[in-house]
Amino acid sequence: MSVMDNYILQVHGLQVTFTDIERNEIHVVDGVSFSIKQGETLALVGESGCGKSVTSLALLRLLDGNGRIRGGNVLWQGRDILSLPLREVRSLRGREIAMVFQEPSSALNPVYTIGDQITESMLRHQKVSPAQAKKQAEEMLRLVGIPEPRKRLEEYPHALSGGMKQRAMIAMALSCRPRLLIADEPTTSLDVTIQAQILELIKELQKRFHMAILLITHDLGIVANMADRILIMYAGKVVEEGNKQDIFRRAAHPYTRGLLNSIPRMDQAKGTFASIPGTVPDPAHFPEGCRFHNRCGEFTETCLSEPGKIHLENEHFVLCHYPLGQKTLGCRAK
Amino acid sequence: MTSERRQLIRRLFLSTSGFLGFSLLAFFCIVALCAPWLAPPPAGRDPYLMPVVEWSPNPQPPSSEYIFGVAGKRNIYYGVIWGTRSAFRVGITVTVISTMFGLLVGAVGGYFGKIVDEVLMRITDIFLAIPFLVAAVVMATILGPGLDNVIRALIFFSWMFPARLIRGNILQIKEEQYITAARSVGVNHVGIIVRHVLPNSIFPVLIQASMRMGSLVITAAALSFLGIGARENYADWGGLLNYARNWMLGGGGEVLRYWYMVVFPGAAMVLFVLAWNLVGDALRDVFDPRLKV
Repeated sequence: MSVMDNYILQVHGLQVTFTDIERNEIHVVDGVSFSIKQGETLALVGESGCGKSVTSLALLRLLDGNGRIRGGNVLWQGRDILSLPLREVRSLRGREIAMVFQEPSSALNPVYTIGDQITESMLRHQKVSPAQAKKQAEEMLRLVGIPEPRKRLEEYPHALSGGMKQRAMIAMALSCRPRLLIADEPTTSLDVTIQAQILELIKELQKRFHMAILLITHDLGIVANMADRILIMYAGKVVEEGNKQDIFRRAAHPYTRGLLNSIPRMDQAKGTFASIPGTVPDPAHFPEGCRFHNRCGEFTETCLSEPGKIHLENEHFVLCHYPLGQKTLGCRAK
Repeated sequence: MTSERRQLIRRLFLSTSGFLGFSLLAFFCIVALCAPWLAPPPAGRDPYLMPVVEWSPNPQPPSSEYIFGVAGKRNIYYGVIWGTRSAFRVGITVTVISTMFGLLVGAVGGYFGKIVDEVLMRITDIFLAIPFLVAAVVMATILGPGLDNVIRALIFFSWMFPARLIRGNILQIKEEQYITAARSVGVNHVGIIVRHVLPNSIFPVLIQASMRMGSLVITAAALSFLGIGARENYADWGGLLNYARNWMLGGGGEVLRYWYMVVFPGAAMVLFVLAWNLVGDALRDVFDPRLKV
């Protein structure tokens, strides 16, 4: 963390709560901190319900309903998004920070053409005429690999296939050349072959536009392929942080290791798949102390107290009383 | 896309109910537009005031001169023709204004939720709790006679229906991911409501509005019939029925002796309501996704 200027986004101690029907506050995201450098890909990894998506929505203050940001700050080039007036946050959305969503078929509005939707953010953020915007939109569609872009501009979302829709979503997100792209499980709903294409596309566009990516996923295969640095989340907290090598070769948190061990491998002996026993705890009843203790093989009495963040090496941090040894791990990066 | 749209329009007009409804509506439109030629008003007089054609207060049956007969010294034919304009005026003004107001209340409540929704919906509940006709009668009496006051009274007590409907739809639509997606590119609240939420939730409201159009005209006629609607002798279907009040039970041993006083304005009303209901039905058939095969 020496050169602070390098970071375009810094999140410190983000707290998000939801209110349940009995008006109890539930801490879904509890003190999450991370930062993203210009042009890098940071992967946010965790099981369903660990707070990944909520974190990503909170960054742009997009939480609605009963989700509330209770603390922390989100510094975008030195300015705290969480305390900016909403009008200025809006001008950041889409222009500087854009999002791609999980489900392309529900993230596109069925009553507007693809062209309308791509030009919407351009017309909002840039001084362009509708005709110019349309031209740029066509260019964007060509860039994301959609054939016959001019024709596609006039089509409605239902006329496109899932992969095409996701390409159109990407074109939409990148239409204003954002500096950070938040991709929330961008390929989960796509076929494996299409997944690979979309990921390649995102990588290619990242290089071209020199933007940073916050990739939210539960798929470690994608992480290995895309990420520079990795953040492992469990039950609303970041439990381990490190670069790809740190995580895949020297995972220190028992949870991270559990995740890595549960990837089926070709050279594995026959038998049952490894898995982490138990399920993700309900956010209303997170365990005391280390939130992983009830599923952890290394559990001792100490784990009932809150673990502190341990600095292992360079950029490798872990939130655990008993970080695992650095050499014994047999898991490897893809 | 255009072919799809063309098909939609074809389905709209070529279904039985759509064809009948739109034809009837077109007929009424033509009558309203051509009123000055169909029933020329006396020169220099307000055409909406039915001129006196007879000095005897007794009704007269249809004749070659007065094809629908004479009631209250006025030509029923003249009243029916010019009354078409009054019907459109009441129906369209009330429906448009009450729907717009209802949309505003329902959209704001549904979209912003929480306390805003709570307050707006409780106010809506209060209005809904008052029986519609009674409320309209009281309001029209307070405001005094005149078509404009009828319109005001009806608007005042009919905005709740679209408000409720649109609120429900918005609650459903606002959870969609494309709403979050639109917010994520920096669209503001007004843009979200107007550009993204309403187009996805407005059709049921339009269908309901067209169906309500007919019943509003009936209510307006009821007020006129009771003598608290349009001014006396104003060309209005309900007003024509008002003339029939003392003659409805017939006379001289014949119950149906003065049938023409009720039948002609009544038929106009029935067909007008039917037209709007059929149009509403046709719209629903075409736009309601649940009915799509």
